[in-house]
Amino acid sequence: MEANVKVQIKYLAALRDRTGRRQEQVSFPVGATLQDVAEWLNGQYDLSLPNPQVMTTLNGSGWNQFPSKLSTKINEGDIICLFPPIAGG
Amino acid sequence: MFEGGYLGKILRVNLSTREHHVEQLKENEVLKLLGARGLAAKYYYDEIGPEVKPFDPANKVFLITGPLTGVKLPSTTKIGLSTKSPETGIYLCSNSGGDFGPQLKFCGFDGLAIEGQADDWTYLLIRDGEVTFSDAGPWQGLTTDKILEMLKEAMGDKRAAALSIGPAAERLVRLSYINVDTRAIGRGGAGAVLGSKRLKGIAVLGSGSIPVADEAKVKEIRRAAIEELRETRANHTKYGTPQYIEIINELGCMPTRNFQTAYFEGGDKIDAHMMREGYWVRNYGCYQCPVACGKVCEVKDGPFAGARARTEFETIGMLGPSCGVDDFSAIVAANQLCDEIGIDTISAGNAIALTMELHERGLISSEDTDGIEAHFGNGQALVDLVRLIGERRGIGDLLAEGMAHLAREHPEWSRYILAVKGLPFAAYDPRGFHGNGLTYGTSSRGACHNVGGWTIRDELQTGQYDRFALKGKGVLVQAIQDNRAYVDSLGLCTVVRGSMNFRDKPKGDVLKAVTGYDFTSELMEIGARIYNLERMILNREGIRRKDDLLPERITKEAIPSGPTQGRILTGEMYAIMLDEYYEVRGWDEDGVPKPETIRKLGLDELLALDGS
Repeated sequence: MEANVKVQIKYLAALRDRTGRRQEQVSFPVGATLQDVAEWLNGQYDLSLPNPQVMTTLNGSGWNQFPSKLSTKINEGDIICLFPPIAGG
Repeated sequence: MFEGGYLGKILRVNLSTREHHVEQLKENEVLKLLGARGLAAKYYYDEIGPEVKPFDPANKVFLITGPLTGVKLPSTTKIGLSTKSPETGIYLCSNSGGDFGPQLKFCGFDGLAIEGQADDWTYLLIRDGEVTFSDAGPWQGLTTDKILEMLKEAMGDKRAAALSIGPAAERLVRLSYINVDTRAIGRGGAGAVLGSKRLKGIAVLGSGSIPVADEAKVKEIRRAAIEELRETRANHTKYGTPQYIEIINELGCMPTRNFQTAYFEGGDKIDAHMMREGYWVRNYGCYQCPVACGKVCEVKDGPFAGARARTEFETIGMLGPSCGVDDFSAIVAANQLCDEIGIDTISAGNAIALTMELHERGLISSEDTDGIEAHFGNGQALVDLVRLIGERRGIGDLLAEGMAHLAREHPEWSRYILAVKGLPFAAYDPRGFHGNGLTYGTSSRGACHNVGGWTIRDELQTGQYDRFALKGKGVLVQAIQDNRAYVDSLGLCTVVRGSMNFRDKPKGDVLKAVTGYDFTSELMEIGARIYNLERMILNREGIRRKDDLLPERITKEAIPSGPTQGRILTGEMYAIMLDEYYEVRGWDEDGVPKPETIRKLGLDELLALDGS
């Protein structure tokens, strides 16, 4: 049986309208990366990433803030959040 | 030299003498400072010295529009304000949406200067060039919204715009706001300045128009901007700023129980979905705004049934999680009461959260709170404490004096007070976004997320500005502050600025099309000039590095739970950011602009300084 890592994906604010759910746990093969998560989201919700209308975090930091960017490996228990662009005011 | 945008005139009214006159806008100042916030700061510099106290008749209120205010472009709604703040005792800049700014320009004025002190309660009607002073004695005690209605009735035309103060400002509650057509000049207590002048409100109605240099181009820009906003701001139209509740909470940045932690376990009971499904009645928009981000909410049942308010993120954050309250009905009811009696929801939320913490720690008792059980999570207590402050009863009388006064009276409570320069925190915990801490520390008016610069988006998507990094934050905050300073001087709402390319690398030809003068390449320099002018004012009022520091809770207590558990922003960490910030600003180690910085920005000439 292939080993998996489970991550929690949260759809915040208006992203919840897009996916119809607040959050879900998703399994990926060990060694999967943010690119794999992006492809899964595209297949599941027709959500193309990167996307200027969607902000993405992994454990509280932006995806592109990690040195390996989309090639960053995900780990068991990681929390991924998707939400619309935010601006103060 | 300007072909449009500006009218070239400022109306000055004196409440002591009931006289008014018109003076010319100075073109050299407009070229250097653009309008609204920039010009209001210059008027303040020239006319409100450090010796003037907030409630002195010598204090003045400057309400200045920008070149875009009232022009037929999206959300050209803003009017800027400067005055001496009753809440902080120092310079205050603020601004508001609504129709007041546009209508003032339709009267032929770029701004309004209010000075003196009326003998008795007064209201003003401004119809084109005509100014009427009238008796507002019978209006004492009426709510801000009721005064807006009365003013429009007195003007005899519902198209009139108006601003008003509530009963809290009559009692000189230092957290009082000015209701501007149901929008707010919220922070810093400007409402209490009007209260001290016995000015209950102003209505304004103009029949003129605002010339623009290139009408066809303005129309073209308008069409493109509206089209972009419909796509990029659709979420704002649906959920407004309350959409940030869920996001900020998940990021571990939500003020919870007076910033004792940064994740609120009841977040899903007060988020934008809950608001939309259970409370939303309709949207409202400011002048010519296609986004209409305002959300009117109403409580349909329960003990607060019938309560109705315009809830925003900051209000929910400070009256909700920061007071431990997860009952959206109570938040709406408290919001409504703040609006009616006329106090700022952010400062009120901070004052109430502090009261709840003091009460829970046994440092005050129910006797101090007039019998109110001031515990975190008690929605009824939240509402009752708003009233206590507005009516100056019990500890409410002390809270009504503001955090700076409170810290002086009770230094032993300082560790529970979240404020910088006397202005309480907005609804973000800087231990979760360190750039936000620098924002609070160096904002021109105290702990403000707008004037100080809203860093959170950059801290989440720019590699070099990771939210917990320290290096680079000085550069980031300076750029955001300067960007905001020029946007606040345009007369345009920040929500729509991107649609017209008013970012930190401004481009486009909006200002050329409106004014005939191409400010665009100079905008960031103008922003820096305004920010430094404000700092020079603050320096003149005694502000130095010691006043730019963060409160103990942030620097000495780690966040105990949630996604940012263990995070802290110690004094040493903060100093790294502050040192870098002073350096990129061209300020000395005590936070004073260096002579070469003043010269580089042309402030020596503008302020007629000798020997700089």
